[in-house]
Amino acid sequence: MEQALLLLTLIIYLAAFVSLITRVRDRICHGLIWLAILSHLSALAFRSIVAGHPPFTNLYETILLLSFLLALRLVLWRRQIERRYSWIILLTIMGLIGAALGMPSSYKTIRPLMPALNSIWMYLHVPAYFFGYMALVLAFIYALIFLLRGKNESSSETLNLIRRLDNEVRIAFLFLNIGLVTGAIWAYHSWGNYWAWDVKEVWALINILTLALYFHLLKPKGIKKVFIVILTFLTVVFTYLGVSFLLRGIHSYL
Amino acid sequence: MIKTYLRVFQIVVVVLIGALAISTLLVPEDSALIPILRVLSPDRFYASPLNIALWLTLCLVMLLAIFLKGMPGFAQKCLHFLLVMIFLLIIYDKTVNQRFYISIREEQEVNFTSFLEKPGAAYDIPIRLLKFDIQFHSGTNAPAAFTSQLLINQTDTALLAVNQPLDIGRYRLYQNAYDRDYFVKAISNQDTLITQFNMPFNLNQWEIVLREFNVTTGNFLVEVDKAEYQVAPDEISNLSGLKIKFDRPSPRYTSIIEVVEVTGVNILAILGLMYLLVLAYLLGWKQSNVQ
Repeated sequence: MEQALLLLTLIIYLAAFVSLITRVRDRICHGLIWLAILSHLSALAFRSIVAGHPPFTNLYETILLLSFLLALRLVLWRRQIERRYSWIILLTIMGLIGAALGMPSSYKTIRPLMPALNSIWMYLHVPAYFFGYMALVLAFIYALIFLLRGKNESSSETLNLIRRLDNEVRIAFLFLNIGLVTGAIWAYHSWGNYWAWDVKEVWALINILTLALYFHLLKPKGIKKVFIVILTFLTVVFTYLGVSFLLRGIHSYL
Repeated sequence: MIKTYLRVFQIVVVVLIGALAISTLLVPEDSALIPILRVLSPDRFYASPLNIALWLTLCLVMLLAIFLKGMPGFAQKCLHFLLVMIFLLIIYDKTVNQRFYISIREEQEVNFTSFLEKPGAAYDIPIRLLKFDIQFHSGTNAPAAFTSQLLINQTDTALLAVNQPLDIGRYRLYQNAYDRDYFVKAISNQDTLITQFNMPFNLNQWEIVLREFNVTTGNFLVEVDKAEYQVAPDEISNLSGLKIKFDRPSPRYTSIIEVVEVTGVNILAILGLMYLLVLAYLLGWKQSNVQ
């Protein structure tokens, strides 16, 4: 049932994507995205009911959560995202859902929750991180567009792009910090230890330190900002995937 | 001045990022191959003077920027001051606080003071594990919850569960994990013995070792004077002249409790939340760069 709902979701997102690039009326396009979001939410809700816990305890579930948050951002904060960039975001969403659908079944297996995860802090810590990741994905997209454009930094279009980049980075930085602080408080409640130098914790700290450079530039030019965003995005990808697959710690949730 | 602080901040942060990243990619054995990497090895780096020095330098730069007019705006000063407090408290927590593990089997009693670096009369407290309870997710071997019922100081009972710590003076107990082994009751003539797998024991002239319990066949593999036998549980078996009965294996749990010295660093949570509030204010309501 869940896989069927996800497949339906992917098809509707594809329809929305096609309508966007063929310049069909806005209403139809957004209507399709909303329909896809509804289907997406149904899949997540179904998963949660069957698993008995919210859908953010392994890689498969968090990829679906990330794509869902991206879709919500696309429709609820429409004014912050220009229509001409929406197709890239839709493509990203479809890519994430496709990746989730294509995962081996062992990654999709519902596993029982560890006792330590049975805490209210999970509902703050994990969603905060993925909200931050969502904003960072958008920032990364703007950074790539900036690089591909290669135009004059003082042109109004580029300045607009940098302004949007600033916006996404601020959201990402705030929510990455919320994730880190709530994680530390949760760790203290569960294990009496705010900070254990676990590999995931260290890489989460690296993400924040890297992104903090964005706000501490001597001359905050567009290209420097873009470089920092791309670097942070790469460290976040390593934190999200690399740590789980290559390194081992208490945060290895596959 | 602002430029100097920013430049120093950038350098320290870049060095920290590099050192932290490399430390996660190394394993302790790497330092044996390449000695120069010993300083960044994960079993050494985090508690090392180098790591502490980097964080203290960062704190110093931020403090100088705050107090020597290197930072505009009260909110920014507040934010960085909170960060300095948080970093210093974490360094203090990691270097000063005692932290250790206690393993207690069911019905076993340990004395708390014997685990302390500085034992004291105030903590001459016996702790007995009365019962260890574990619930599994249905149809699986994965634990859903586990608790330790403790008798503290021979008078007070307390329940220790995951995410529900207990306080003993300035020490906090956390239900960290558990261990499980199996014991088997062996009865021969009038003798009753409790044994474990792969632990040789003697009965009269026989040397007996219980090797394993096969869940599929439901039989024990028993070695009597080096000869192997398949033995059904709960039945008297004749093994090389030895008449013996083995009961089905019973699990015996050991509760693993983490003990942490609480020295007031729980204000870190409050500082962390204050930091988030100020950060939200700066990033949300104030549109300018945080410099």
